[in-house]
Amino acid sequence: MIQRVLVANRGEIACRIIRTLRALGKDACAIYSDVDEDAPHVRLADDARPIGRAPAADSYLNVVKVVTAACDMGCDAVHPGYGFLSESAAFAEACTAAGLVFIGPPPDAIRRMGDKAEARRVAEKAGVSPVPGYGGPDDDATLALEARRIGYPLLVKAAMGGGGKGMRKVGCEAELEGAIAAARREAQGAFGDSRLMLERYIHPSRHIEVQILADTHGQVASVLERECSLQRRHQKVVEECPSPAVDEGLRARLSDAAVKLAKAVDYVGAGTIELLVEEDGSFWFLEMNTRLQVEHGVTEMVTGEDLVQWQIAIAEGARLADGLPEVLAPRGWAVEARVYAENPESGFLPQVGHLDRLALPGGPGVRVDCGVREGQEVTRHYDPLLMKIVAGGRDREHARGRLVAALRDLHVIGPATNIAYLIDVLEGDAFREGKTFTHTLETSGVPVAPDEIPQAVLALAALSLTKRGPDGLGREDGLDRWSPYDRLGDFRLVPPEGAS
Amino acid sequence: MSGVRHHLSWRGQDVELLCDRRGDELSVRRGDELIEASIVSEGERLVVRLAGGQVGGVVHLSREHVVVSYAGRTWALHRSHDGGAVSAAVEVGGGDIEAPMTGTVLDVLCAQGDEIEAGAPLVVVEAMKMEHRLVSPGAAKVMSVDVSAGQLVDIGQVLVRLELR
Repeated sequence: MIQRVLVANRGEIACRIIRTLRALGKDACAIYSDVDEDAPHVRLADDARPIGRAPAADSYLNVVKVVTAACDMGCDAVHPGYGFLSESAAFAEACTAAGLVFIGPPPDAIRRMGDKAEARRVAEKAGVSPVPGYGGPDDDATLALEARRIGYPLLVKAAMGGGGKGMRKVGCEAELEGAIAAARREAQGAFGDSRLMLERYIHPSRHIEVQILADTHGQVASVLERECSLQRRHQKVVEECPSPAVDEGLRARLSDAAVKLAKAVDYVGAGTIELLVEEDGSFWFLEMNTRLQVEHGVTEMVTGEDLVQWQIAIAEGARLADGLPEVLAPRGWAVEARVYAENPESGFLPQVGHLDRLALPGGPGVRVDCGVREGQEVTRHYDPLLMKIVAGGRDREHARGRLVAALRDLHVIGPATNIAYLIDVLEGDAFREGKTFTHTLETSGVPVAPDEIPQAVLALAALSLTKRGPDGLGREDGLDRWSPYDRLGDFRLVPPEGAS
Repeated sequence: MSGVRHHLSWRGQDVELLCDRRGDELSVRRGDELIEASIVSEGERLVVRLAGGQVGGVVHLSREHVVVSYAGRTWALHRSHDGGAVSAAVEVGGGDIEAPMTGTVLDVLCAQGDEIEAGAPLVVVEAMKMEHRLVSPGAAKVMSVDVSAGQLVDIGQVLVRLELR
């Protein structure tokens, strides 16, 4: 049995994994870079080690430092989370070589599915059609020839990529050269591998993915689909489970394809098969993510399962049959919104800065996976995802309403965020009607900043200026952030004379 | 109408509020506009009832600003302490292209003297491992290029100066 786990990550996902470890009675250990010494995941963990400077290459991406920290803290297993080293076969091998259980798939499965060109071949052999495209020698001249064969529009993608990095949509031949150069640079920077591949741009289509769990005894289970069509620059923005476009028949076909693919690479653990689904129900294999997904929470909300708990149980040798229902039907609906430090009104550029205030929503059916705290600095070094809000309800509209209410009750003062944009997306006709496609957000117009101050804002500003705090001033900058007098909210004690 | 006058500004516009609070009733006058609010809660979240319904938000007061978070947006109202006219933050001329955030210049795609059209790419900045292409807001002449590829730039730093036609 696993006793003590290094969570080789940071931010919201590290916090989320630590919570499951705590629930299971296992020790949770953290690592942190210089700028994360006081980050939420470090505070939550039972033990923590510094592993280097802020740039990820010097800390969270450094295999030797991460494995050494795990050994130093006496861990017997490592959970990689998502991003960073989660899809590094070399990291999985280094863990095993150091006597640590890697909570994830075998290195061979990571390697084969991580190489998108190889993954296409695996899918073809398993009888699941990949998106028409090209994956092979990738010199510029060959790519140009293949692009002509595939036809425009098409996508240039990093062969070892993910998360939208190193990916470019190309509308016509004139744009190809520039797109290849940009994608290569991004791919090299983000993945240390500049190889590219091409895919036909299938339009209109939905991004639907199947969550699978595979145990070490050869059983593979499909744990429902998620729809993640609402993307911007290939970054998911809003996700839901189940998909409004999937009926029982399609669900069975998607599940069958996903299970076949997982079996084809002797998969073990939690994984996700991403597919592009057309209006007529035909679908194409996109890629497999050999790790926990950012959006796994919507699946957990409608199944009642804890996917991290399953990852650990599988690593301990458990059988899926001992616990997982044979047939999983969605119970109600769940929708997730990703809250980023970015400014939608200036081209969604990532934002940095001090988090002056943070007030989180709650209530029935609302789950907040948050990786930041009030008073923290949001830096440029890592992904700008601040938190995810998941809302569940008896049906889609119930969940949608709860998510909108939760977002309206979420307050982040500091770096600009996309919260208002998320509310607009969830309130928009496309989402309300379930008409969500991969191009929906890209073609729905550019958010513009309001040019008038709403009365509500003026009223709230006026109230704060007339607010009766113990000092008659309310909360001023310069007050001690951690003073209990400053943290009690409405219920205040009168501080003694001379206290700030 | 009596009350306390607060001189604020937002994006260069004066926002002068005359606030009169009596118990849990708050009236706010801005020019001809009168907002009547009933105070519901003064906790971490401030909640008031307006004619159109109940609204809630969080407000952060600093020496310089009253920052209101409401319905997913933040509104930073600048405070003026001397009670006089407020000098708004220096407005950047429409022709200056600024670094939207701290990052690295990957590529400069224009040169001094270029005559360019709206949407013409000017500079590629990398931040958070994503490339961001800054384009011209309109037809313009490039007056100066103040950065070069590989250079680290700070948020707000002027990268290119344009004269818009």
